[in-house]
Amino acid sequence: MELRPSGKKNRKMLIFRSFIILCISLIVIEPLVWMIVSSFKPEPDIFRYIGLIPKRVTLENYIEGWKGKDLGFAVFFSNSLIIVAFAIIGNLISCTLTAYAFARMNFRFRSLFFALMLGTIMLPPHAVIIPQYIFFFKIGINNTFLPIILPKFFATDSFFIFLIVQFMRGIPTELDQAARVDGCNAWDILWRIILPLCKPALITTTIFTFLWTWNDFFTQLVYLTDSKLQTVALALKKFVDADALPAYGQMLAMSTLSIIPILILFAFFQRLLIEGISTTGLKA
Amino acid sequence: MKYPVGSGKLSRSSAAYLFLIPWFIGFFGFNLLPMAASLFLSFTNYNIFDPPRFDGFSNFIYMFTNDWHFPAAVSVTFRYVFFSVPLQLCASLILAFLLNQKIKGLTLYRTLFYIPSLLGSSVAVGILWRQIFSSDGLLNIFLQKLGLMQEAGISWIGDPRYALWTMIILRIWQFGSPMIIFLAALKQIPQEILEASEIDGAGRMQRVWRIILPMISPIILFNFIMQIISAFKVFTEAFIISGGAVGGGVVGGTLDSLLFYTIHIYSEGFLKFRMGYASALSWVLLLMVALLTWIAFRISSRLVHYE
Amino acid sequence: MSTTIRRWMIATIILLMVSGPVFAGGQSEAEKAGSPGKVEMRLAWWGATGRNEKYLAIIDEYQKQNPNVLITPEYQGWADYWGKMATMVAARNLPDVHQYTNNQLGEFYSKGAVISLESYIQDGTIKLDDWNTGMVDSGRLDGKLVGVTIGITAPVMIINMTWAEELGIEIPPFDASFTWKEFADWLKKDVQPKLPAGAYAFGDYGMAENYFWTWVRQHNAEWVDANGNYAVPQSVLEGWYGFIDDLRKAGVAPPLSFTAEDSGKARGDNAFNRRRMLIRPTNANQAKLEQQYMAVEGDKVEMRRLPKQEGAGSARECLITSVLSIAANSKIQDEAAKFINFFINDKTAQTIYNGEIGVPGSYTVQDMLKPNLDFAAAQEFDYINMVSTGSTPTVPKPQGIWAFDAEIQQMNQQVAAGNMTPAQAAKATIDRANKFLASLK
Repeated sequence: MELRPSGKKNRKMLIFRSFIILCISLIVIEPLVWMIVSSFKPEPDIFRYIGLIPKRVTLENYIEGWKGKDLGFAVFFSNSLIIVAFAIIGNLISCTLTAYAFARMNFRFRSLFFALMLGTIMLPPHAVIIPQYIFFFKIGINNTFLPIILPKFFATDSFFIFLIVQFMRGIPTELDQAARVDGCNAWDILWRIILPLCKPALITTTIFTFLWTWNDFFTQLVYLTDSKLQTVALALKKFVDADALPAYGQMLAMSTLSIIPILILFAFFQRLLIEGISTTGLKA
Repeated sequence: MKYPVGSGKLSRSSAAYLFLIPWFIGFFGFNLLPMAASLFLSFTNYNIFDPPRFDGFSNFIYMFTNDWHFPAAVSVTFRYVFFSVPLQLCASLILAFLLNQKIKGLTLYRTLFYIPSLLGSSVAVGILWRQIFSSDGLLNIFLQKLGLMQEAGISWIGDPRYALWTMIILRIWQFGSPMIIFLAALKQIPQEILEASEIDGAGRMQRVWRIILPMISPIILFNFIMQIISAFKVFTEAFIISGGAVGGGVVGGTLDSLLFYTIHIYSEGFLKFRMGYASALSWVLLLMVALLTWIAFRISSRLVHYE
Repeated sequence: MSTTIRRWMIATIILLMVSGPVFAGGQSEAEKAGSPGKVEMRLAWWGATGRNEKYLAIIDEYQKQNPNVLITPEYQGWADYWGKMATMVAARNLPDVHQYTNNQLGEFYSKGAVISLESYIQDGTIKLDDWNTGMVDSGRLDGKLVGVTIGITAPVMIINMTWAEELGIEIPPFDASFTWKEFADWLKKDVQPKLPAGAYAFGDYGMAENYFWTWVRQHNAEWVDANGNYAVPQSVLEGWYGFIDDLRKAGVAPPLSFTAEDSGKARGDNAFNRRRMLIRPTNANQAKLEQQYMAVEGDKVEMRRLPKQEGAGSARECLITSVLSIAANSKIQDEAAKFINFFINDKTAQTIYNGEIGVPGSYTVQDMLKPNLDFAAAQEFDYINMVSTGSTPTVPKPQGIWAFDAEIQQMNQQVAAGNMTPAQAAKATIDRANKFLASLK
């Protein structure tokens, strides 16, 4: 859906709107600019001279931060990326299947299950972490990535189930009916009709799964005790803990770096988000 | 031209259950048991070391009569949700509209507005926010240059009157997440409908109110509920801003001004080892959130349009 | 099938093939190698950059000398260390060797989380012959040694001497006869007037829980009485809140928001570093870091003792010890004891550690390290030796008292905000303490 401006009045509106957007974006982006700029300042300057134009510039935060003392950031990055990749795959598969059932099928206890599904995310993670931890400990997969990844393959992220359900509900059911007339079964309808129309929802699921899993500090803290399994989120925290001279510069530098993967992901999928959906072609 | 409501739903329960197998396994395996355990623990005095001892409702009685932090936890969290969610959603909706047009640099703006959300609930965001809202931070320097702030600036994060607002502003700043979802929803509206309405002579505002908003109303509801749920669960940023996370500062900020409910749960369960009580707190939170969600659904049933 | 979906499937398959090792996760090399006789040990500590490397170097050294042992390090910052503890305790999955301070040691031992080390002392696995017995006893409960100290620290005041000199402030002796009242008078009359606007003479000690512990010791008060009720007298609490409140009202100590913000600041950025505070309450091992940092800026920082109560013999600072303990659920307790002994007594190990977390308890080690100490560490050694001489033992806190420290801090905030008078705060503290302790039963 795009609104096409035409005529003088619309052009003025357009310029006005562009100006507003520009102002807002400057305010929004300012903290990030500070973060990036500070990552290039030597450590003592970061809080002493907090302007946006550095007095001195250095790369040492990036070099030292990446090298690390014991394990370099390459390890943390790769750990985080592995966890996130599997989480995305798991969520896409399991949440889509589940959402399809809720959105398009009638079955006994549907409302009840829906409520239960939503209920699972209303409980703060701290409440269930201990029983979960004991459970994973007893089956012996503590101190691996599995406690974090495995649930994703079993539709435990109700946020995305709900998201995809809402998107699926926006797809007209005539398409389903037409397909059934053509002899499609439930799986065909999902695969051929619904999913392609749900691309924005799936992309959103991918991006958000990436983001939240990447930053999921507490779960990673509890399950990844071995220092070799540590992730970016845990490593960033260690830069600023109180017991030693903190390394804010390195933390900011590595934080800047850690935005890059998801920025790439986001930029890559933006096109698909832009393209939009047209249903006319399906009637053919 | 609206699509008529049809009965296109497949009414075969067995097919549905097949699709729900992953969820069944997930729910019963990973959610139900821990949740049931946590519910049970909320009626005990579980302190992690000793086996839990059944205590009846004493945790809940303590919560409402003797827990001197509980009122603050509820107040802080509710005020936070009440202010930040509507403001954030308005911002994200308005900006989704603004960005849904052919403007120069559209892709860049879209990415730019989304970057704050990319930082998510990371350590960096907490540190950033502490820096900006310190008495000698960026905000005060800016205000001082404008002559609006005296030399020794207000400590926005240290002053109990303002600390919560730094968190509210943080949430609004991260409007990019719901904005993306709104953008995706706006993209899903078929072009033909809008063109047809233009041909029919509908004005801009009419198009927005009569067509666009109703068509994306399922998504508005979704964002509303999801943001409420996530706002009730906010933890990491608040923990860092209040100083508790890095080993300095009081958990919950100055005079409990940043004592979010989840931080109170964490403090009781993980720092004082009163896991039974922490479980009780968690279930009370769940009840409050569930109630609000249910209310939202009921109100929305009249406002939200499904196909 | 659309190209996008096909691409996703290919990516998935590749990813699955490549990440097979993922599911091995924390599987140890010993298991992979399948070699028998390999001992795996988990060692956990709290720390940050600078400290972590020392532990890792010690681990390397031990593994070199004992090639059949594989030690898995687990380390976090202070706050996250305790966050992890809860889940590990619940699952009885504590690391074989891990750390405590005598703030929590009592609680964890009484709940059976760690074992007594007496047998290892008797059979000589852990050698403590040439150790300062006072320091050894800091890890003793009910006569049993449950944690071996790897460093002792104590509360201290640090003064920016260079700045004081520039301002023409004379520092009194701070010796054994210096009382709190004399301290306060000196601050009000001789210090604060000379400080520039916006600077404070003395930080709000409300955040320094070891100051409170010292205060309680200075009054010979008990934490808990025989019935399990909170036993710190109201007058003692009133004095605690009142003293600093008086200083705040006199403008000598900073107001609430200032302290709240400052306590979360990074080292290098706090008020003391920025010359907005002349004297800062802290612990000796932290003081060392402050000294090293400020020296770079050209400011000489020195440690001073706490003042004492009127009529008392000395300041009786509490001694805070960090200890290594062995988990009750450990399956390799003998090897763990061997490691602990290595950590505390081996010359290479202690040279690496270099008194990181506090002053070591072994006289041999102290003598070995003394010649090479920098000025800050040397001050720390002298300070700890001074305050531990002739002092009464610091008995580990009873159950719940450590957790209640946070409440004391918050109560101090209430007084600072003017919501309560010190007397009211004292009464409320006792009331809340009793409720809290009762809820733990």
